[in-house]
Amino acid sequence: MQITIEFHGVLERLAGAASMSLIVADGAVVADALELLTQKAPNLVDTVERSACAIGDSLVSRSDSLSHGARLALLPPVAGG
Amino acid sequence: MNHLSESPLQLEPLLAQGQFPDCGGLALFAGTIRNHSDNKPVLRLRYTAYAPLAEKLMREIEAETKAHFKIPYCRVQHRLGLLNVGDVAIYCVARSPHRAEAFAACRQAVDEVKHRVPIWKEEFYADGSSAFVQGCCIRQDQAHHHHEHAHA
Repeated sequence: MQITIEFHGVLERLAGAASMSLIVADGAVVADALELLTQKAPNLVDTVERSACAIGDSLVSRSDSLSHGARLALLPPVAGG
Repeated sequence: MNHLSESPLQLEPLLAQGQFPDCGGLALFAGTIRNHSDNKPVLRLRYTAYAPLAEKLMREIEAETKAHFKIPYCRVQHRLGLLNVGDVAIYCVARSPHRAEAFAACRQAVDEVKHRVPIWKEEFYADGSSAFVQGCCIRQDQAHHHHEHAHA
């Protein structure tokens, strides 16, 4: 199934794009998508490790399931204010 | 009212003037853009956010702050986009019957925004370089979290 990874903050700079489409196996969880992502872009490993993940307005964990068409936002350490 | 704004923040609507006649305290915090960071001259900043979660968390922070301090009013608003030195990045207004709770609520709400809300800050320096400010990890399913940085 196809999902979209959204890059935010410094991840957008490191990835050189605002988003990336990935094909993951049916039944894949967030961790599977991140593993595939970092295989394709090894320079993201450290920042992805320190990033939260969100779908819509909710944080999701590495063990949460993905569905076809999901937009998974990667949120590196935050620095508002 | 949105909690994130691409245009300059408007203070007047946040003050809720004329409301809350039982409140004798109104605390206001305004965070503005400094002209330096770690001894490097800063020309401007760019703030970006993951809006769906940021808006939700800022609503939650307002509600939590009101409940914690038992006050009737707390609002926070954060600017996005390119800001110059001196521009306002964040406003927080808290109102309470007495000043102590208003000051404390204002401080807590701003701290929570800095620690929890998915907003990022890229600094642009006088030498032409730029960098994202190291921030707080908001990943919740991580075994160990080291809070190594200081907050200005």
